[in-house]
Amino acid sequence: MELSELTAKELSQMLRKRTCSASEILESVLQQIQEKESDIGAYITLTEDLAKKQAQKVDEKLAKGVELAELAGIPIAVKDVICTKGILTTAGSKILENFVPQYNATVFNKVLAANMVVVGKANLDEFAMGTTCESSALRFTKNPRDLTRVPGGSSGGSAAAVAGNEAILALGSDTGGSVRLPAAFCGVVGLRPTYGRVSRYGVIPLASSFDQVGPMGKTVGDVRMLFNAIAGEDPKDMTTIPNKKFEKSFDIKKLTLGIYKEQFNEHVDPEISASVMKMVESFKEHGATIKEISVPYSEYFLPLYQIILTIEAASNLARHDGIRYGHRTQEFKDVEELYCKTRSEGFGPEPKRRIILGTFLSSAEFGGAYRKKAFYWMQKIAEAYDNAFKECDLLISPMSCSHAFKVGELVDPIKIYALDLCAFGASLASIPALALPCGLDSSNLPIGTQIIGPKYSEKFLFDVGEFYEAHCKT
Amino acid sequence: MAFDVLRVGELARFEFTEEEVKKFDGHIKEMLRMISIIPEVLETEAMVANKVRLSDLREDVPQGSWDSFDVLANAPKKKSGFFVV
Repeated sequence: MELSELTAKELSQMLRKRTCSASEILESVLQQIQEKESDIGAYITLTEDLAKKQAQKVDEKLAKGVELAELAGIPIAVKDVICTKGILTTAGSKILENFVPQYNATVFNKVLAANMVVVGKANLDEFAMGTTCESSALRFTKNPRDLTRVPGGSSGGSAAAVAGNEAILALGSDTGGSVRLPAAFCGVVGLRPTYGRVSRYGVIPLASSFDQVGPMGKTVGDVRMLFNAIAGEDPKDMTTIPNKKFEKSFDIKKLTLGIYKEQFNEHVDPEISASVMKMVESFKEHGATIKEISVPYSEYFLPLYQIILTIEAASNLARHDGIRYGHRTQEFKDVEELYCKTRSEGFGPEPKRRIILGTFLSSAEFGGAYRKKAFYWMQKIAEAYDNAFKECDLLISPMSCSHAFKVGELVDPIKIYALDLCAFGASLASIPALALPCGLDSSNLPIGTQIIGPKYSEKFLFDVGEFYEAHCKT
Repeated sequence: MAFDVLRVGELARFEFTEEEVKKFDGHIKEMLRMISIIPEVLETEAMVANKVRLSDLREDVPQGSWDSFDVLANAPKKKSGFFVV
C-alpha cells in the first residue's frame, strides 16, 4: 500500500516510530498528483516547493528528537477561500484571480504551527457559492470515484484531493453544506463545527452568520485530529467561543439516536435511505436506543437560508470594486463605470444571481424586514433542535438526496440549491454535523450520512462516528 | 416593491447583457416565490430575535496596524502611496 493511501493517524504513528519520513509521505502524495491531477483537477495552486521545505524541516526536527504536534508532517490541501500569505488565494473567481494575501487566516496559522505540510490551494465553487464545484471560474474538478461526475461543492477540490489521495487531510468551509455534501459525494468524512468553534478571520466571507471552516479526511479519527488543531477562540473573530465542555460522554448502551423524520422524505433516493437505516440498525444491534424524531419548520429551511445568505453575500461582496485588490476594468469614463464594469467582468453568474437577490431583499424600501424576519425564524429553528435534543442525543439523516451527479447534469439553479436540503438545518441552528460514508450504492458510488448534535458536541459526534467505523461498518 | 432586475443591478453596480437580464429576471422571480412562504412576524418579536448583546463585544482598544506597502500590495492601480480610484 502506498503511503498516500494511509490515514493521518497511521502516518503520524509511523513518523514517530521513524518507519517513514515526512519527505517520503509527501513524495507519495506528489506522485498521486502527478498521475491523477490532470484528470481530477482538485487544485487551483500547487505549493510543491513550500511543501518540500516543510517536510524536510519536520524530518530534521524529528531527527533531533524535537516534540512535534500529532499532525506534523501530514500533507494538507487548503480550500482557496482561506487567505495564505504570499500564496495565491482566488476564491475560485476571476475577480481575485491574481490576489496574493499579505496575511494568513488564523486557521492557516494553526496549520503552520502544527507543522503540517501544505500541498496546495483546493478548487471550489466561485466564492463558495454552489453545490457541484462547477461554478468555479478557474478550474474544473471531477469526482475521483467516477471521473464523469461532480465532486460536490463548494469544497469540491478539498474533498477530491482527499478521495484521490492527493492530500491526506483538507480544510473546507461550510456555509450551508459545503463541507458535508462534497464529503458525501466523494466518500470522505467532513465536519461542520458549531458556529464559533473555528475562527473565520482571513476566510473570504460568503455569509458571515453561517460560514465555518471544516476539517475533511478519510476517517473520523483524522477529522477529529484536524478539528482539534484548528478549533479555538480567536481575538480577531468576535464570534469565536471558548471550548465549552459537552456534558455527555459516549456509551453505546446509553446512546439515543434520533431518526430525523423530515429528512427521510420522498426526494431522497431509496437506496440512500436504506443505507442510512442499515447504519441505524447496526447501532441498535450494539445496544443504542432508536427513536423517530421530528424537527418542525423544515419547509422554511431553504427559503430562510437563501434570504440570510444572499443578503450577507451582497454585503460581503460589495468590497470587490477594482480599487484595493483584484480585477480592475481597463477602460471607463467615471468611477461609477469603473465599479460596474469591474464587477460585471469579474463575477461569474452564480455570485451575480445571489448578489442581485440579496441587494433586492436588503433594499431600503423593505427597511430590513426580510433580514429581521429571517433571524426570528432562525432562532425558532434553533429552539426546535434544542427540543429535539431533549428526546435524543443525536439526529441521523441522509447527507444528500442523491449520489454524485454527472458533470453538467444539473443546470437549474433552484434545483442545485435544493441539493443541500439535508444540510441547511445545522447551519441555521449553528450546531455541528458530521458527514461520513455509509456504503456504496448499486452504481458503486459513495452514500453519505449525517449525524447532527447539539452545540459543542463535536467530541461526542467523533466518538459515535469512530464507533461506527470500528464496529458497524461492513 | 416589484422586482426590477435593471434597477437592482444598478444598485449592486452591475451592467447586464440582454441575455443576463432575461435569465436573472426569471431566476430571481422564482426565488422570490420560494421565499414568500416564510410567515410574517410581529415587529416586537423580530426585535427580540435581532437584539445585539453588547456584552458580547470586546473592548474597543486600538491595535497594531498594517504597513502601507502591504495595504497597497494588491492594488491594481496605485500612485505615490495611495490607491487610484
